[in-house]
Amino acid sequence: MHSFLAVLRFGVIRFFLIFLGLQVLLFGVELLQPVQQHLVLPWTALLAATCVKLVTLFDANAAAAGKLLWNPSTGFGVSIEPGCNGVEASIILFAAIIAFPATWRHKLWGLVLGFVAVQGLNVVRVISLFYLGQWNDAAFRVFHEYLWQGLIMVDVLVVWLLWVRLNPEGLGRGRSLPASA
Amino acid sequence: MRRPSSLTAFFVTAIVGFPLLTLAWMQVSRWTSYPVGGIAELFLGHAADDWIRSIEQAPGTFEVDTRIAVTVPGQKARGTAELVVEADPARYAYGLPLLIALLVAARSRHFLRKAVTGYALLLFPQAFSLSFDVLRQIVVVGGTPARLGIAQWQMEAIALGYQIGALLLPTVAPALIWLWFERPFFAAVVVEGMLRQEMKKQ
Repeated sequence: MHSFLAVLRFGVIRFFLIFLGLQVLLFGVELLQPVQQHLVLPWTALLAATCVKLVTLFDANAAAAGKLLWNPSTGFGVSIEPGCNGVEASIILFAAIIAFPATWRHKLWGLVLGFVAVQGLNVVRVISLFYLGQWNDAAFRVFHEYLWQGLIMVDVLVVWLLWVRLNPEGLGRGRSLPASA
Repeated sequence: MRRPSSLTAFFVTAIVGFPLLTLAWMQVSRWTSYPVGGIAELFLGHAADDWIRSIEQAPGTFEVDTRIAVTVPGQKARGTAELVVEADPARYAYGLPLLIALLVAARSRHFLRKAVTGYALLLFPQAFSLSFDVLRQIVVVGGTPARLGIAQWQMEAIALGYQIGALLLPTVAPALIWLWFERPFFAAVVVEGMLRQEMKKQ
């Protein structure tokens, strides 16, 4: 078991370094103007439109305009800004999946299903904030600034741990469980 | 020996524990985040001493008096003043309840030692976030790079630093610290997965 933990320790350090490097790289790419214009903003608009479609299933008082989700009857709206569109959370998950040793096939389905899981919870976040804001400003602030940020991170962490557990190669190629463990 | 938490139990405990711990943390955050201001003051004093005249801090507030001249709107006598920037040291410090929730959820051994060490480690990324929040405010109000006496790339580095400090570090730092502390939990997850794969093959 000692050798396994030694491999693990080395693996965690290696993972940390690759993960941090990838994250800065992906985050830098996300901030580029063409990426913002052709990918992030259209995605954010699609997210707002999706939220409106879901909300109007049970509440007719919702509309979307670009990245804005608003209630025409009260005038209250939430603008989906960077940090609220799930892109940064997806970047964290993508970096964690790519940095971890696994086959590219396993990584690919992790990226796809992980993206769906993160964005699914993010839709819940946006809709909940839309209603919280109309109900109570203090509650909106607490959920917006603190709670949802952390809950999305827990989601990312658990999705990643689930993906690691389903990794057919354990810690990666040639790093199988030692017989003495 | 304490039985490690299953992934389901981990998830449920973290999801329930984090909001409760955050509500508790909000009552004391002005004091727990006080050292963040001290570290940020040291950093800003070295990195942006041309811009900063003095920094005053008290629990819950971080006020930076700058040398950046700004026009005062509404003043007929073309009055200028020096920019004062305010920030909240606790704004990006919610990683502490997140780290503690993760430690509780993983049924961590040596919980107290890890919580205290984690708190101390988190002060640095939190100070980074606070510092770049202040720098971003100065840059936004201060005007062009030439007026501020910096190069274009330095302005863009401040923008990138702010984005990293606001959007990534507050949640990524506690998760990484937790992962480092809880290598045995992570090992259990990996081993469990490997055993499942072996059982499937047989």
